[in-house]
Amino acid sequence: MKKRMIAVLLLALMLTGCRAEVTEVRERAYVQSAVFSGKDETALTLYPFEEAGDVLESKGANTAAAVEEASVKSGREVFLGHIELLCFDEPAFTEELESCLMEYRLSPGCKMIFLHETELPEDCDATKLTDSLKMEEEKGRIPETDLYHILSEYNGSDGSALVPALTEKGFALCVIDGGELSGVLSDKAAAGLVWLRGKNYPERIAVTGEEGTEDYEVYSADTKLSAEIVKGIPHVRAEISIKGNGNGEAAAGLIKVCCQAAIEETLKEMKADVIGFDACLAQDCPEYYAQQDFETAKWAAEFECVVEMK
Amino acid sequence: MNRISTGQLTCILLLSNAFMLMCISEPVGLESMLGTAVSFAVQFLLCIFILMLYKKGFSFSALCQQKHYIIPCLYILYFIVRGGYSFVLIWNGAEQLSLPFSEAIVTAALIGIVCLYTASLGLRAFARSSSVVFGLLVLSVVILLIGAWQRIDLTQLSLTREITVTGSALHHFSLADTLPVFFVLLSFSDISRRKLKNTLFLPASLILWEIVLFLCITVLGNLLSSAKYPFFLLTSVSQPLDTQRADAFYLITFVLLCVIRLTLFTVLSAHLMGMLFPKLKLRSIIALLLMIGAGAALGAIGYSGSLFCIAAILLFAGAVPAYLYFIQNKKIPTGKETGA
Amino acid sequence: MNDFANESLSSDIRENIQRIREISDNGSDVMVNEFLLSGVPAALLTCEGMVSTSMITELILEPITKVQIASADAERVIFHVQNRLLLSLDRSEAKNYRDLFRFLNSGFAVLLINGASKALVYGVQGYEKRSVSEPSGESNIMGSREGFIEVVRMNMSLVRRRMKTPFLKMELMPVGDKSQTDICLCYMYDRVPESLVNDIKKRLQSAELESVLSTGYLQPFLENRRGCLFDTSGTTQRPDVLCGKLLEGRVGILIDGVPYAITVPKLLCESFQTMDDYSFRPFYTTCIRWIKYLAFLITLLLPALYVAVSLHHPELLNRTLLLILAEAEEKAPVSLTAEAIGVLLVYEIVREAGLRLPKAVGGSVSIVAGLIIGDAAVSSGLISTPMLTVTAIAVISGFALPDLNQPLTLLRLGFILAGGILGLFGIGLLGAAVIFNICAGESFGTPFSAPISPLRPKAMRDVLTRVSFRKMQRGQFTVEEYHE
Repeated sequence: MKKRMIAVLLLALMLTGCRAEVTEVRERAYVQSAVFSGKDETALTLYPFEEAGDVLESKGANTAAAVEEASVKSGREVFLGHIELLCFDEPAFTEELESCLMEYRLSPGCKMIFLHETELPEDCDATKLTDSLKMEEEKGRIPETDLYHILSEYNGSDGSALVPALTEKGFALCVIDGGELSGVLSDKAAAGLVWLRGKNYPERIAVTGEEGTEDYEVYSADTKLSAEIVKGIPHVRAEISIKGNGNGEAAAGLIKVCCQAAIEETLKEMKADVIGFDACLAQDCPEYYAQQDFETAKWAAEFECVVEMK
Repeated sequence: MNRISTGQLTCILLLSNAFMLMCISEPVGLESMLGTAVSFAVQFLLCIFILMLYKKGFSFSALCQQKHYIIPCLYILYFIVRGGYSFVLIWNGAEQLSLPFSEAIVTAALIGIVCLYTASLGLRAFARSSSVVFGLLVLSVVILLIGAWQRIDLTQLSLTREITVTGSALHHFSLADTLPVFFVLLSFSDISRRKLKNTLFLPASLILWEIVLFLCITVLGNLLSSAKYPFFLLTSVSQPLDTQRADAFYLITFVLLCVIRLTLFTVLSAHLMGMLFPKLKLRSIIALLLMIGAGAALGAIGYSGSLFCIAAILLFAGAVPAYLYFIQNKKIPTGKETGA
Repeated sequence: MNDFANESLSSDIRENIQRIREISDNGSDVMVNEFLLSGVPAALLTCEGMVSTSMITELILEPITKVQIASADAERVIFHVQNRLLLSLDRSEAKNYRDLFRFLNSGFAVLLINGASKALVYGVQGYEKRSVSEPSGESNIMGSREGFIEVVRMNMSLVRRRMKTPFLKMELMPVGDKSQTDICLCYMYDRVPESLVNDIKKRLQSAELESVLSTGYLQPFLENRRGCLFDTSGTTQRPDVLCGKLLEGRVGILIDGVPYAITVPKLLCESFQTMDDYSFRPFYTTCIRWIKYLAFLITLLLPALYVAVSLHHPELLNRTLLLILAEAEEKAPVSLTAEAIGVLLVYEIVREAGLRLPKAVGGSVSIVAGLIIGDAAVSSGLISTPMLTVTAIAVISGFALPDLNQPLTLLRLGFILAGGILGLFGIGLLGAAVIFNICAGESFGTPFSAPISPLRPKAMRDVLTRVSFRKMQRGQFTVEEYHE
């Protein structure tokens, strides 16, 4: 009796017309990289995987409309779940990142590049660009970022995120705050952020010593942020310990200069926390963190960078 | 005879708790971890009280034999409401999952149909299945840990300004609907085994909750502030494989937990109905249909009453057992026969 | 005609022979040899082809015709034959026609003597039978090469040779209204609870079958009616396997005419164990066993996961895999779900054709299927190479678990449909139903899913691993421990 009833219920459910929306494998366009541009109207350029077809271009009132238009144009459902590189030239696009992550099933590990006053070259090879970016990060020239990291920073209390940028000169770093570009960081600041964020250290540092330019080889490094309240003002200390070989004194000096530049440009000028300053205060100075005017008071913090060479 | 072992009891209740964990939609912080621990401590005290009652020889069948029909009726009502609320959680949660159809109601209907089958197989099959699903849950947690390992950021583990320990404890307690279930389910466990180890589900659930909350806090970090369902967001950002997302795999675990939880409420409601109305047929179907109805009603009124939940849990896992405990010697015979 | 069953034999030999001819409708195979036994009319009845002519001549005809008794009558003759002549080791009596025909058609010689209302029967079987050979279905490397044959008594001897303990009890009983098939219940009476044996006997006796021509006739009576997808009674072709199961407190049922033994209660984990597991080194066996568990999951879920992930969750696929798949599916004329089901159906057709055809032709089926159809289908674009590969892996994985072939074939199709229509959600739903189905299965009160659920940690030594016999010998195990 029960089995019959279950069968009847299943049949009834099928007859209601509620059925799955199935898209066949061949009915999808698999995209490797995408460029979102334009503010009022979103222009979308999709680069499919080499083997999978031609470049798709579309426009729409918003991202969803542009993606839909791309699907219509290509005659296939555009699938963004395998995107490896996401480029955009409008900082406001960061506002849509979270919905894109969920709606288009983007990989949280996909790389992002902000196109600063430049365009992707006509013959742009997405794979090459992604690999170059990855190599920059691997060599410790710029801090490691991906969609997840950018989104996580962007959702922080001050709403600023560190995003790799492509400028006319090559790769750089920029800070986007609340959907607007705060500025592009200098090379020194970018190098300093690598040390302060402490994820991907460079393998060697070129330092100028008495005998000219030489390399300091970095074997391993560790960064620790700590904070304490001194006379009502937070005092943040970045301790960087490095194991390596070479002219340590010169290297330490260079790292200090870079870190100071990074702190000056991000925390002081742009009021952007991209080094985990907020979390450090919350952890080390919970009472200060709990005070009402924390969001405004925290910017008065003093910073100190200590580099220890082993 | 429908007898379940201590291990099976633990698995059933742990899985039911795990379902609630997957469906949490509140802000999460370090305070939540502490609040959860406090809530489990309170639950433990209530459990001891329930065990004391059973030690005195209490049984639901004896209660029905003495024509105390109101109490089983109230429990049936509670299970139907909680089952209905589970349906609401499923179709709310379905929006976050990559399901092949847009109608959330279809999801709930399909799960309901499967529950109809699973409930028809009886409590023993249900208890055994729970052990298997528990194994799969452990596997899922391990995969989640592997995927999230790279993204754990311990600096995120700090106190927040939005959440309080008391608030978190109260909120978690409002989700502790396994306590009334524990009270009824204990009727099916062996009388000689009704010892403190029956409460093993509490520390086990606590560990599970703390692991997931820890991962949510340290992996999601700032993303938590905008996360509607922290667990589902956690699965989408933790990648055990290099580039591809793996959150769809947790869909299987979620479905299994849904089936276990709804089957639990269906089986218990049907069983209590059987005690009250022995001649009533198709009890599982009636219970499940009532749950779907309750779910539709709760969904329509936008029910999310934490206070009501806390009151109900205190009533069904505290006040009623206390009442029964104090009248035990006067009214209810201490029968050795305890099961159904 | 059927009312002879309980009809007693008459003391008049003429009447008896007349009745036997009536009942058998003068059948050509009933041979009646009438003669005088010390002056008393007697008849020796045999069934043609069922007895050994030389044996009957030497053991019965020669001694019996030499009998000389003074003032012989039926009573004295019977007393003499029964007590002074041994004639055969397998001796019995038949008092009614039902028993008489059962003995006669089982290859016994039936001696009727005028004046006696019973017949004396002597086992002189001499029918043709297959010799003991290596079982075709359960090959192994290190174990015995002997398999059961169609003669129940021979099978009993194969078991007895391996288990000389008097605790091994064998009980013969006839089942089947028309076939009167001998079935033999084997069990270690010190390890099997009496209630289980009685329950099995009760179920077998309540089976209103006309005949028992294979194990499948009896299995439904030994399984519960909960719609379990998997067999809750096992079968084996090997006497050594049966002995192993008897030692674990199971009951074996041998059927005359069937080279298989049924074993109850059965557990799911048994399907992953072979005789070789206990011959090889424990580490290797443990590894092989885990490979089998993996094979189980692959054969059941791989095509379904492939379809579900490709159609509904392509983000789960590795980039390279996705591109290979997209390219391969570009020209496919049907949907991925239909393709998967089609390939599996074709495989089942080929398998069935290979099984049923004569062996000489059977080989060519695989050539036609593998080379011609497979190659042509892929090169014409009807089936994509990844799909064929996935299906082939799933099917080959199934070969590692021949015992589970039937339910796995059906479930594989079910999972493909669920995965194709509903994605991983569908697989989860069907998976839940299957888990519950397996856990609901019981065989005489023993959970089919034991010792995984309910969990029996002690039993894991032969489930998750296979410990050496040094450890295995500690603590005797019987399946009764799982009884709930």
